Amino acid sequence: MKKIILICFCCLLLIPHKSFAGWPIGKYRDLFVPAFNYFKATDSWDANGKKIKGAPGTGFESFALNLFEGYGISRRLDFIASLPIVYQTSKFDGGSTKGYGPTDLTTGLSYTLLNSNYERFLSVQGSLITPLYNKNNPNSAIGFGSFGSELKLSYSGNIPKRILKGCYFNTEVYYRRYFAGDGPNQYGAFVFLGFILSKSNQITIDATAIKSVSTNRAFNNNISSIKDFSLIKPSVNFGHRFTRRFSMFVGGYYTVTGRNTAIGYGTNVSGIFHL
Amino acid sequence: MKAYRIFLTFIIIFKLGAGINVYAQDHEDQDKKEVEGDVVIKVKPAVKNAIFKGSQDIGYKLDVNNLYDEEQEGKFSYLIKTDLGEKVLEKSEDFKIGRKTKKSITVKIPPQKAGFYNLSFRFNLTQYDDTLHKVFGVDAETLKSPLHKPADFDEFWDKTRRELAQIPPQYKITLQHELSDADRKVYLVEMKSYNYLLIRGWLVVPKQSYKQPVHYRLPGYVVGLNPNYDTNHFITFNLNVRGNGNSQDVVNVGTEDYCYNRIQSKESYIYRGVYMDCLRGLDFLYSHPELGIDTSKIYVEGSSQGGTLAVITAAMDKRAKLLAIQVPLYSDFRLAKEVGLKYDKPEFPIKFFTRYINNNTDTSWDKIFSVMDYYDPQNFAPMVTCPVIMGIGLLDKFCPPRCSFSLFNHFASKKKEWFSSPDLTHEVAFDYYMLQNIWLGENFRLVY
Repeated sequence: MKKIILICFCCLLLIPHKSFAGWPIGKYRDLFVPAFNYFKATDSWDANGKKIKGAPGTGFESFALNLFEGYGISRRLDFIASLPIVYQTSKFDGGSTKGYGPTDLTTGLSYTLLNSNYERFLSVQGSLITPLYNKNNPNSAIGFGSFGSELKLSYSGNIPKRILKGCYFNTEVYYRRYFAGDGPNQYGAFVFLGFILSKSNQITIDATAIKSVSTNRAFNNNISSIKDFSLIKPSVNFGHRFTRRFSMFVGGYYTVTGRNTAIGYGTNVSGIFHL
Repeated sequence: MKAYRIFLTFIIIFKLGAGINVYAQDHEDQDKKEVEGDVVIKVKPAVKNAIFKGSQDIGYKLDVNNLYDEEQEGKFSYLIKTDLGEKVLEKSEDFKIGRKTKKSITVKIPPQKAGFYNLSFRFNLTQYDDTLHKVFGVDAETLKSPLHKPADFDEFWDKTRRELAQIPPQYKITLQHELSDADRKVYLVEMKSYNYLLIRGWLVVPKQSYKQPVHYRLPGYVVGLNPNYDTNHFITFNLNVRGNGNSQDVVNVGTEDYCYNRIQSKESYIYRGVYMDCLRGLDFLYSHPELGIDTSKIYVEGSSQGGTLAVITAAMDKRAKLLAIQVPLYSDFRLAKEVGLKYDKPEFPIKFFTRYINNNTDTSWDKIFSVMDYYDPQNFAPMVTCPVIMGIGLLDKFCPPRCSFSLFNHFASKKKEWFSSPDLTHEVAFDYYMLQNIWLGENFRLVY
């Protein structure tokens, strides 16, 4: 009987998780996650965090397709790659700009440093950021246009049953450095909770915080070019498992607070393919 | 930005809290037992699995918590013996601990040669006198144990298998409506096995649209297996070999008699049929793909006697693709007898065999060995080539850890791994099952 109970406990680990970046993918396992993201902002926060109402007809809008691929090289080591492709427009008084194409390719390795009963995992991830566009091209102003690197520490796993039943979590802190003279240096944090509703359904909530620091403190209507800013963005998602190889998540988010950045909301739809 | 700082602080606190929580969970049960008027001692080996390398010191940390309302004073000593009872090292020192205080002791033992050792920590204090028993291993994967494989071992088992093949299985599969539900179907499976005995098992088939891997479980010593509802990711087949569970129509012997039932000759010993029952169960799985069985992904698993039966199955039938065993019984039986007779009082199964020999003047250990050599799983181990995972408890007196490693080291498998639970006896820890799940996923390339 004891064994039966133990094996049942293992089952939560086997439910597809949205926080795929925080968990070991597993040796020989292949994960492909395409995600569509829509973001729109009309208002903004100024350099002091004061809300600024946008003029009629102005704003920032972005459509993005993000392709994530993860492969378990060993029980502890995963390869990850992520490529966003965007189409974005910025409208301001007297004109507009648009940009499109692949943005920053992120490639890296994630290594599980510690595990607690194979239920909770502490991982470190190192990544290289490669811009796939020319920032001097007016149609390609879709990022900082410089190489960068990222170091991330994740702690994720099942929440002990006696605290919250049927829940899992992921927390991340990271440091990202772009190699251009004015950076930026970015400090990020991410917290995530997943609630299993049934065998196929779950709800997840998460929040992202980013602080980007640069000597270049200018505001830009094209928000993907702002180097000095900070923001907090919570998100809610609903996930459904269609088959053991395919799940989908649909959700929305809003920038609740920030500095020198846009006030925006967005929605995303992602598919998780276990190949 | 204040909000950002608050958020970051929250994350850091959460991470720290999570870590503390894990620690607290691990220690909760022990802490609950702490009562005033006691000394609570927690012993932790320097390496988590308590299997040390021959080149390293053997280290232990003892956390002593004096819950008495007065100082405790006396001797702390420790004694190391091999698993065959030979004294290796003994040390004693004065020990004092104040009232209601905690104290840590670090024990450092010089490197030892490959083997398993019994370690006793003794506290002889003012009001407290107790001995804590631990077992540690050294270079366990290098341990060698001779095979005592009879010359006609292969011939004997080839002949036995041919005899099994002559017996029509006459499979009967009956859907059990009262045990089935919306997510799975449960079947009672009946079949004829060696010597035409009827054996039964429980097949649980989750409702899936694709072929599913199979968890084929074999029973512990005279343990009846019931339908296995643990998972929706595997078809589970729990087989009750003759004399176990619902397969006791003809063979229905007591717990004590089972292990030496008809041991007078290798031909008549109960396990000849039992081992063939395991292969017959695999015959059933392989011949019924229409039930949704992915016949390329059958893993055989068992604990104790079930571990041994799983070894025999994987050794004799390559259709079993993975082998998962815990605390395998009868491993390196000759050594198990030597180790078992050194205990203060004999334990199962050596206790039963000893009693049998004492009650039957015409038998002896040599006669027992002359039969058991055909059945010792260690002699089958070189025939196992599939990936293997083994879990053991270091305090196990039924299946001494050295015997389990003797078996393990004889597996011919290129991919094999083990897991030890230093504080457990005839069982393995929760972590093992988590690891086994991960291991299964890797080897079968499963998507759960």
